[in-house]
Amino acid sequence: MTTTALTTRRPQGPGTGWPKLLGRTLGAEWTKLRSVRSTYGSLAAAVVVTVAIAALAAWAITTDDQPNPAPATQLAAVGASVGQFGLVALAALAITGEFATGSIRTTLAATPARWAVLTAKAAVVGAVTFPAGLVATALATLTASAILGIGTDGIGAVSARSAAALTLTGVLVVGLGAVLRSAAGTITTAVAVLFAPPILGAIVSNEVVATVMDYLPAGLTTVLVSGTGERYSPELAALLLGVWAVVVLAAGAIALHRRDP
Amino acid sequence: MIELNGLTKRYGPTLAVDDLSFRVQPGKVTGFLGPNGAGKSTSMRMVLGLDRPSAGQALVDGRPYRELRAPLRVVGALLDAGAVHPRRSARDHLGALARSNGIPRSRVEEVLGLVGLDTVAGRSAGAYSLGMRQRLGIAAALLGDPGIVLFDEPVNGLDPDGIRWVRQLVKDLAAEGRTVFVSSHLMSEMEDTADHLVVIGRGRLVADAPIGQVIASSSHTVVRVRTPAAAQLGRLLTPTAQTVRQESDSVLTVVGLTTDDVGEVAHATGIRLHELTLQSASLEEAYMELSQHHLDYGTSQLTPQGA
Repeated sequence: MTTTALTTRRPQGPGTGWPKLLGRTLGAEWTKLRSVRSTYGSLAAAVVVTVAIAALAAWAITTDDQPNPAPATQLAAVGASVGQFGLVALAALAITGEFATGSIRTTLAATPARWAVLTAKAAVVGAVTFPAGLVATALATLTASAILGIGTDGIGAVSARSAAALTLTGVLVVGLGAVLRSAAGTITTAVAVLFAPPILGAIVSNEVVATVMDYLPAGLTTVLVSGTGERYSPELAALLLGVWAVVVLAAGAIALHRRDP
Repeated sequence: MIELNGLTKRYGPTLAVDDLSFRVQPGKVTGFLGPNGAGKSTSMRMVLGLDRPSAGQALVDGRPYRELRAPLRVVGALLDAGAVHPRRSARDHLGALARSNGIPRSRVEEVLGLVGLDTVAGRSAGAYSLGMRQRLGIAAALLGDPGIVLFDEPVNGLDPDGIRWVRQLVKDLAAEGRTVFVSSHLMSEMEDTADHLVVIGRGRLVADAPIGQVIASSSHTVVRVRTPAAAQLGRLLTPTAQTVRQESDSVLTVVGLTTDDVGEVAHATGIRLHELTLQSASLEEAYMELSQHHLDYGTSQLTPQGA
């Protein structure tokens, strides 16, 4: 502890343009994401649950009297639909953790440009959810195929589509967290948005309701991951899911801009 | 320099900060005083662009904080020490802040050494004592080598050694020509560190003056005079003094005049003095009086000094 050497040396100033600003903010958010243990826990949970559910489904099929195996990739997609909540938790905690601990004030004092903070958070969350989704889905496909003794046809395509869906969902959840601020509220809402429509869709047969369901994130995710859709192509599903993610993220940026942290 | 112009913050019907205007000048320590809940932290958060003012504005070096692209190089702030993720190490916390403002990584180790946390920098901030978190907050404030520092209750949770260290640090920063703005609800914190005081109560400006003047203008600062001609001298002093009270046949207490003033009058009129002493109010008393008057009458007792 010393009071000398407070330094009068001023390091060279950083660039002030927005690409430089975004670059610096990305660096800061990456440092923050990799320096808390919950990040690794959430990633591990996502992979383990995805593989475990796929393995369980495959094992259940083998117990049938007359096994009628589904493709391994389809079982992996089922696994990913449950395992995604590990990634939802990661995305939610990346933003709500700052509100819970008060460190959001430190963050915004260092980077007053709210849009840059939220964009950088979404980007670093996406940067880990994509490879995590890829690995989880591929491992789940391999596991299911091994249990059932069938091939792994389409493993690359399904893994990539699943990873894309998980990434866009992660971005959406970051935006949701900026609006709702609490971890519990954000995760609960995300679970409701991602799980409730398929359940409702199975009960309700109203055509209008069914159409609406298909355009909500859950319906879009189903088409994107399975690679087939009645109303639209998987490519369009990816695009529409991207629109959802951007809209919710923008709502988060507006909330961050308007409300006192 | 920090500049507040009619800064106001309203929460529903409550005015947390009410039309606050003052400037914080570089090169000296400015104490920001007020009881808990007076609006100090809210004002500081508005200076940092965190809370949005209901009216008025705050400027740092002439610009709103939210316009700064690398603010840590302009303003270093210690807000509540809890504003750190408890699962992140001090080194990573500062590392993220450094990256966000394009500050070289080497500066992180420098400030860690400066606040004496270098040996524990790898531990989670959640495991720190309040005093250690306070030091971490100060390290973050100094990270960008800013020309303006803003400390909200910096000695909270510090041990006597730490308190002495913060006081010296604050003086050193001002001596280097920086703008130093330090809040406290305790007058005693300011007594030997602040050069200038801004006092607020219930969100309103109560005083904005050099510390000496705050003490001098207190009615607790009195001149005690012992003289055989107490009654006569009392009459002579009454027109210029704030109050003159005759304590006994031979003792007067005078408020609002210096010992020089009283001595001159006595000499000019040939009155013999047996004692002439200044009984200075403590800053504590001056502060209590200021906030008391303010609460009673809701008026400013000291006018701002043109800065």
